[in-house]
Amino acid sequence: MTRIQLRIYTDPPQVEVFLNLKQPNGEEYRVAAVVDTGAQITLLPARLMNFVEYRIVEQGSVTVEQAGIARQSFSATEAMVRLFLEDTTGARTSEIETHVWFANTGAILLGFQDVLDQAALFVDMRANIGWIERD
Amino acid sequence: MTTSRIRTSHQDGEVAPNTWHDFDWVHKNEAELLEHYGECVLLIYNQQVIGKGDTIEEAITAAEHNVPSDLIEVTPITYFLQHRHTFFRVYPDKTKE
Repeated sequence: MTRIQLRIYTDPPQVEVFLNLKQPNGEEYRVAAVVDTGAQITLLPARLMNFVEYRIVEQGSVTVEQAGIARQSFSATEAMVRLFLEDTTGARTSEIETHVWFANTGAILLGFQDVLDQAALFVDMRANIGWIERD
Repeated sequence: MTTSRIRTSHQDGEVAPNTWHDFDWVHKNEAELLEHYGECVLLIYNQQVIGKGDTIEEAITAAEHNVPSDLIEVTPITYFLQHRHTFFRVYPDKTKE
């Protein structure tokens, strides 16, 4: 198991981790993602689709209905990508192949399927520390 | 992908000297950046916005024009600037006025 340190922010409160998304040429594209325990699947901006390697899954285009009081829905493209989690100490997980939704958004949310559901997650907002442990 | 001087990707395990500082900087200055640029894609290098666009490609094109010609390669971070949580934009309840 590799322990990845999280970036803890308090104003506004947010917990982030770095993702490295694999590209077709073997290089990687680094972005900061919000760790979102309310997200079923990792969400990425569709604007990244020209810059990362992905494989569209069978159902392809999906409509996502947001839970909670917002009652909003949005269209997304469901795909598989390969990524690593990383922190500023140089720690990296092994490669993760995961479902993602590409949507018309600037939000980058790290969700459960294939990632958080295979991990241990610890956050202490009082002490400003947190980590994800995952293979 | 791009073959320009603006290098937005990296080799396996590679971290440019500016990377972590730039992620910290953009987070600290996010509110001001949103006010100034609005929702967009930003390329940030050494704590400066070098490119802005609706897409990554547009931001790279803008950065090509903004980066001094004597720089052979720059390694900006990419940041998708947007309001964080729609829920948290709170407006007065007019029914109670």
